[in-house]
Amino acid sequence: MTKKKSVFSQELIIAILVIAIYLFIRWRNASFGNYNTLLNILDISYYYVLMGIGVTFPLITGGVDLSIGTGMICYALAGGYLIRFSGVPVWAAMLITVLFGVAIGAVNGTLISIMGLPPFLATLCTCMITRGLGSVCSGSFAIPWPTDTDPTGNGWFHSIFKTTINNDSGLYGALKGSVGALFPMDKRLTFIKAPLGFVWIILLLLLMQFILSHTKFGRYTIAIGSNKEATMLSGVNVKFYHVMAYVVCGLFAGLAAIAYAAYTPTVQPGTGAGMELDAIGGAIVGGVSTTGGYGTIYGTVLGVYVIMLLKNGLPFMGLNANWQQVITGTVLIVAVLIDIIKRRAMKK
Amino acid sequence: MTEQNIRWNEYYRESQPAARKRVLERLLGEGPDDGADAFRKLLYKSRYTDEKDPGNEVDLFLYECVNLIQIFHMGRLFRKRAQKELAMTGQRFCLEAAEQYGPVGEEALYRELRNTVKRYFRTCTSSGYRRGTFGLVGSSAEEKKRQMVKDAWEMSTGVTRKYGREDAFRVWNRAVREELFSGDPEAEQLFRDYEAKQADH
Repeated sequence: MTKKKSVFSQELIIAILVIAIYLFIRWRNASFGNYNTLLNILDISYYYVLMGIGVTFPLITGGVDLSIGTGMICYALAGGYLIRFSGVPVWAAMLITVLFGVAIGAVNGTLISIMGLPPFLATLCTCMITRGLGSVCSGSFAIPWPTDTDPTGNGWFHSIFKTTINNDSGLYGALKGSVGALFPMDKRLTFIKAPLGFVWIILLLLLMQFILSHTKFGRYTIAIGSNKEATMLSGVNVKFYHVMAYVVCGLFAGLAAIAYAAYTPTVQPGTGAGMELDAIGGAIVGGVSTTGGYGTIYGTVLGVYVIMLLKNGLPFMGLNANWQQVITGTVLIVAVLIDIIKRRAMKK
Repeated sequence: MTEQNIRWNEYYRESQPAARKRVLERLLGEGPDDGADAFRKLLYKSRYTDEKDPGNEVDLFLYECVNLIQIFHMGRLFRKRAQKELAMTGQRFCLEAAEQYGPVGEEALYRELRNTVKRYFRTCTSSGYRRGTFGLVGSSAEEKKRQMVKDAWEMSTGVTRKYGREDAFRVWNRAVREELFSGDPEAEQLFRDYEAKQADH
């Protein structure tokens, strides 16, 4: 008979941790609580969160995708090149960017599920390939996507993530009143930027959590991570669903590429390595098991925000930006260790 | 063990669906009906028939083993959904239908479920079973055994206790426990230890 039940699930603990970290940094430096700082953290977080949502699927199957960081840069470079030098409309370039991600995801899935390569090795190779491909696509030059003030109007895609609300809007007053109470903002502003991207993140979170828990695809993904052979003997087309987990990961890396292009003025070839660790680390912090078979999307999103707050809060605590790498690596080690210790403790 | 039970040993020892079908058909044609023959056919159909794609070779009972672990891990937000899925698993296992056939029906169900669990446990010895840390590290035989015991507890006592369906699933729970304990005496101790640990959480 159960004596007592744990009130806190891992996800709830992480949610409390996010708030605690935010309040702690804000307590150490009041300017961390500014609306603009919050907006900046959200802007940076979009592409990490998108990568995190995507990589949750391979992680749940018991694998990993190390190519999402360099892949994201590669897709953004390809999309930017098409806009700048081939005259492709922005919407078409965005679509190609996402499809490029899907294609690399399918390659990863095929290598792992059909060819039988270990996920770590296969995606490490595609990580190198996408890094090289990015440079090939851009001719080793940095590629800027249109800015939000682009005179041709091509910068419209920025408004997907951040929209400007001016003082003619009734929404402006409501936002400035309620949001301003929590996150101080300049009272002289005649317009504010609303983090529309966060709304998309919430919607995607709900959609992907629904897919993971309530659809055949999601349930088979978890089943593969739980016991691949039993799932296969049950009659499930394991190879197909295993490939699909990587395709979804690639799709989200493609979406992350668009968010990245909207955030950064220019996309630099040769970058992106290490970004995947923030997304993977976030997923593990959020409770996704490193052996597969268990994980939630909301846990991943919260986990990524823990890392984002730690990384972006450091300069506000007087530590220089180089510490970001140290923090990311440490958080990842601690998260994996906690997962291993937890599993050992449960089985002892 | 009754003479009827011994007659059906061959059927319950076999794990391959096609071979089981052959044995089932032969045994049904050979001997007298102990009152559970129709139920055995129903169990076979429920376990191996993919209603959407009859040509597809499936083992739906085996899938339920994996699915029950997922139901066990569902968060509180999905409690109603979990209860609904557990009820559907009960239907798939023909738990209520067994009652119509009395003790012989329950015995047939118990042996069918043990056959399912045996097949599940066999998959737990494969090299791909729960590899550690992103699939990099293979599990030792000892780790696999501990994981298998954990799975066994979660798919039986764990999930049915969590959702208050222990009584409805008593045949299933007995089948899992006895199959686990029969294969390895140490497994019983591991199972009890794991259960005690869960009660403390």
